[in-house]
Amino acid sequence: MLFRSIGIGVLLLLASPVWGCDACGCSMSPSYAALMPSLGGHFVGFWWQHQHYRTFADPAFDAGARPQDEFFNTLEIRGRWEIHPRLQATVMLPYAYHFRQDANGPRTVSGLGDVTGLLSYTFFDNSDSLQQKVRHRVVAGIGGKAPTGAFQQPAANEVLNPNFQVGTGSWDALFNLNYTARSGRSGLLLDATYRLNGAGENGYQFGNRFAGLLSLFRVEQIGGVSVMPNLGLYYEQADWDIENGYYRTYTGGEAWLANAGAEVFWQRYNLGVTYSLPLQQDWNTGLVEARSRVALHLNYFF
Amino acid sequence: MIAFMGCQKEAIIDTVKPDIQILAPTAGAVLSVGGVMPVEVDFSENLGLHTYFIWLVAEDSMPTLVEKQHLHALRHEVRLEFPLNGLEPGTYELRVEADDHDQNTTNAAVTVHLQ
Repeated sequence: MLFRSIGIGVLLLLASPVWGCDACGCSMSPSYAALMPSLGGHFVGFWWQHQHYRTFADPAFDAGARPQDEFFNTLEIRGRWEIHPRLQATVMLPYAYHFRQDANGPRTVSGLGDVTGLLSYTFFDNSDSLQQKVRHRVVAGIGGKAPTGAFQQPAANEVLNPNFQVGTGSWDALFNLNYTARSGRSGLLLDATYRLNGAGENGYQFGNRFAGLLSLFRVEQIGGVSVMPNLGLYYEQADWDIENGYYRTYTGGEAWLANAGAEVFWQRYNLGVTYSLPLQQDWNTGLVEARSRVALHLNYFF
Repeated sequence: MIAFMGCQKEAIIDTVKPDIQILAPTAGAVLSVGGVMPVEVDFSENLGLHTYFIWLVAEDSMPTLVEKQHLHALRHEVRLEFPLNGLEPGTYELRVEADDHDQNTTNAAVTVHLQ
């Protein structure tokens, strides 16, 4: 069966950053985690992610002010090319549409985001072995993100707002390590991604990001369809941003999220959905609250 | 990668306070109850203002809020006329406080007289 050998990989796409707040200075960790099948071969797919954040006014100044909701949507075309059975190249071309409701009405920003590329090498893989009760797969990746998305400059007298943008304005490096263990129809996934951010021409440098995922999954065969429900624990952390040599001390933070999702494989198609809810978080000195996230993708293998 | 890391380590925490210039009223200005007080204040900040407050404080420390704002700006000007209705004659202090996003705070004040 084609999908009997399905393993799981995780690719953490670090999408464009999300907006700060009226409460002042907020910079979210923009990690985008999604389970990705490590089925051999090339694929192309559409990936969509929706994130919801709520920002609060500074209580020392605007006590009682209503919080504001912000929504960040990224639709991307993702393609993977298997250069060699052990070497794969993945490219992600995002289009971002962000929406924010504030006291002056709705605000939006949209456009092509930053292109991300990742080169992954499988160091160890016995997932096809029938003799091993527990099979393992270890993949390491290195990549980069180019500042192809617009990074809007502020007016002469305004403070740069780095968060409500479709691009970061910087070249960034990505490092990924992925481990999968399978036993029968069940498995475990550990994934870690670190993003080393460069500074943009505007002098703004987002803090480095780390994202990690622990996920448990099971593969069920239903007729000609493979269904793979999964549950996971996701962690993300961001350092302080830097602007013109100064730390932006109200940025950065960390969060733990619970993930639940499912992957469906049918013939050459793969449909996946993930829903995430924060369990614990501390972003931007508590003035920003991450809410739910939803991710959906459809891949075609060839 | 080294360049990336280098940039990260060279950064420092901002300790530069906002600058406040009170252009009006001038120190010792004599104003009339029932009239207006011109308020002209210029703010500047190296990375960006966060908030400012302007109060008119009576001798018994009772403050009257003239203006406050929560903003994101490198420079900001306040130009307004504050009505002096309902205030008792006496000596007052116009106090201005501004801070940035790194908790650097500046205070400035001028004394005025209401008659």
